[in-house]
Amino acid sequence: MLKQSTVQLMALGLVGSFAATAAAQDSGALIDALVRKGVLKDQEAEQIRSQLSRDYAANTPAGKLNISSSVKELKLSGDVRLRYQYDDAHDAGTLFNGTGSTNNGANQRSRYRLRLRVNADYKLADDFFAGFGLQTTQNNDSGNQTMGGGTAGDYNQNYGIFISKAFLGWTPISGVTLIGGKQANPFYTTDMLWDADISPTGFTQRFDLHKIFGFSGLELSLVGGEFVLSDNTESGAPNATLGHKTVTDAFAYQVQLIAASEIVEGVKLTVAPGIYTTNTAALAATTSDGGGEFNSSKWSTKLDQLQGLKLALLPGDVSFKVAGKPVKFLWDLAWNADGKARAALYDKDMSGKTATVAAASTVTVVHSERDDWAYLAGFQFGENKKKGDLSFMANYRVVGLASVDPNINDSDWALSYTNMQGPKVGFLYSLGDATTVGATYYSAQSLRKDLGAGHVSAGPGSQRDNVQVLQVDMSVKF
Amino acid sequence: MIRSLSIASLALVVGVTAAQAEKIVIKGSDTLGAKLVPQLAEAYKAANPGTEFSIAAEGSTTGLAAIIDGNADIGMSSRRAKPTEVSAASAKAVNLTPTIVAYDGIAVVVNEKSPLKGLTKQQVEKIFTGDVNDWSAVGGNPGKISIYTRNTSSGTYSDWKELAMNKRDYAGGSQKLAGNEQIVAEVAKNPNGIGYVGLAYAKSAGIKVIAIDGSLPTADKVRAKTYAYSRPTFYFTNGEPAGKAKAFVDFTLSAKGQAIAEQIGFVSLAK
Repeated sequence: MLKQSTVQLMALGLVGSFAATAAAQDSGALIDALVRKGVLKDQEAEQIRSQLSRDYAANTPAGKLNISSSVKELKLSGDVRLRYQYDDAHDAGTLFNGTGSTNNGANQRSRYRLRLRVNADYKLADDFFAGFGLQTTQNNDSGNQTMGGGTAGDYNQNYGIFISKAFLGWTPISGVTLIGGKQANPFYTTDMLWDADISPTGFTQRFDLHKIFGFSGLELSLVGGEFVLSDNTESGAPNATLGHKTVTDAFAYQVQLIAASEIVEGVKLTVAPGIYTTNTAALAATTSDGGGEFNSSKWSTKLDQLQGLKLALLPGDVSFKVAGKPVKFLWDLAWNADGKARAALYDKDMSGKTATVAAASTVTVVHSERDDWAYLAGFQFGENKKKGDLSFMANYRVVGLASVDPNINDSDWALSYTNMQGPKVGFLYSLGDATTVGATYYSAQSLRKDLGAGHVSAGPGSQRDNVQVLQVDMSVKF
Repeated sequence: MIRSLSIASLALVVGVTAAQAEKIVIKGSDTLGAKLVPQLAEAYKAANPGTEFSIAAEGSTTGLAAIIDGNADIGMSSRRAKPTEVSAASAKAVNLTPTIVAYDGIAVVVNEKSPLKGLTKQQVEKIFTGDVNDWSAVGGNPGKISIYTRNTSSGTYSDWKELAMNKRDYAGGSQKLAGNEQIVAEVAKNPNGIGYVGLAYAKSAGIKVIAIDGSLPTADKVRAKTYAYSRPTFYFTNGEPAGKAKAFVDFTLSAKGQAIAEQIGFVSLAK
């Protein structure tokens, strides 16, 4: 009769011969079969499983990673995207009210672009977590690098890698999440307000009230964010023109209540009223796109102040399934309660004075209430989770001159300009489980035609008469 | 005189040290730690006066972490160690060693007023993944299914995904609860509720266990693994159990310890 240890040794050898070390985790079925046949006892089987796991840990690349024991889980992810982009942006000309001359200058541009993003997310002991992201550009609202976009003579150039996310968080109790650093946008939103590529920098707090208080039928979350836009030197000279007595750092604040519930069988309604505002601090001058969270290239020199942004927000959606595919009708709404002050930043004459425009014609430009509103309506059909999946989306938006912050809105639709209206449509097809191809078309026309290009100078207002953007993408997630 | 004091002090120190040495720290699974291990500890203390226990039942993940970090003598777990945990242990020269404590069947429970008597494995998967969200689709009275699950620290949470859900994600609307007793309480309150609990909790008031593919989780079927959701439960130690941990592990595996396991609702190792 064979000794028990001999049986175990033989079983281990048998399992080992069938299971390569890298596949040790898949040996469970064989071990189970040996238990069923009575070759192994349960406890012996567990010891063999344990030994195989240790071998796996010791002899595979994954097993050789020396990860701190405080790390409970590490998720590595990323994506590479190739893009062809065509922009067709026409200048506003001198006047659009028909009283002046027209100078429809045009700006066409085609670009071949690429983007790499790599993310690491750590779950740590004691309900802490942390993570970082790396991507190919410094720009706050885009990770794209344009092929051949280097300096003259620098062909086939290499690209830099920048930190796009670096954060740490804590979940002190179930339903409460606190995060600090440069992080994924915590808000329920659309790209009418927030460009999806922006990782805001600062502090956020999320309270899932349904978890904290244990009620069901309604998911209710309160989300707050305080974002550092510009670090100013407090001992510097205050801006007397704006009435500042001291210099402070520039902050943006957003708070939002997200409510979601199944209103009828299979139909979920989500609404997320909130506010977005800033203090009135000066923004540090940055000379180029990508200078940080604040994107000065979208502003005129008069707009380096954070004034006139007191936004009331009401995004939401209704979602359900049709033929097993998710369908979502969504909307967004923003109203700037301080729109008149905001418009005045674009030009003081917006207060109603007669303005002189570039062509020496004159026109009276008055702030209109519609400058203060932005709204969006659209739908999404389908999702891209596995090979063969197809999804569509379309929305139409109207963005008043003083309605949203062009530093943070979608940098593709109308190239961030406000005082524009138009659609965004697109589709995405999954060539494989992790590979997609798709196209997105953005079209925007100026909203108010009575603002001259010379009147609202290089700001995000009506400098453009219309902007068309086409993007064709292929991306791989890993 | 001084010599006498020194001897007395030494005796005191030795005594205190000895008393401290008899404290057994056990962390991990709620399935094991809420009922079984505390009762085993009481019986062990009765037989071994002076022994103290510190038992924290906050989920299998915490038990394995405690062994890896050297914060416990025994880690309770209702699941096997994950490769990442074995890897983390190896990095710290810790040898995660499992000992089977008893068998458990994960019972599917519904409100006692439910007309449902049984489900197939496929129906269970559809319910917990959200493919089916109304009882009428699986032979029950019309009504939205309320799913109650354990939280992510739980070994049962992981085991259930593997045993019953084909490793798919839980339905979006499922509610995660801290322990078996909370699941029982919620299902007992909600006529449309469904959840899963260890066998030790399946006889609670207000709920009933339903058959899976015609089988109820009886002791024989769990031990023979013919019940679909059978599993072993474990103590984990750093290497083979030794010292005070070995003594308690041996007690758990003894006839007396296994009788306690049976009494609580677990399935003993041998019949």
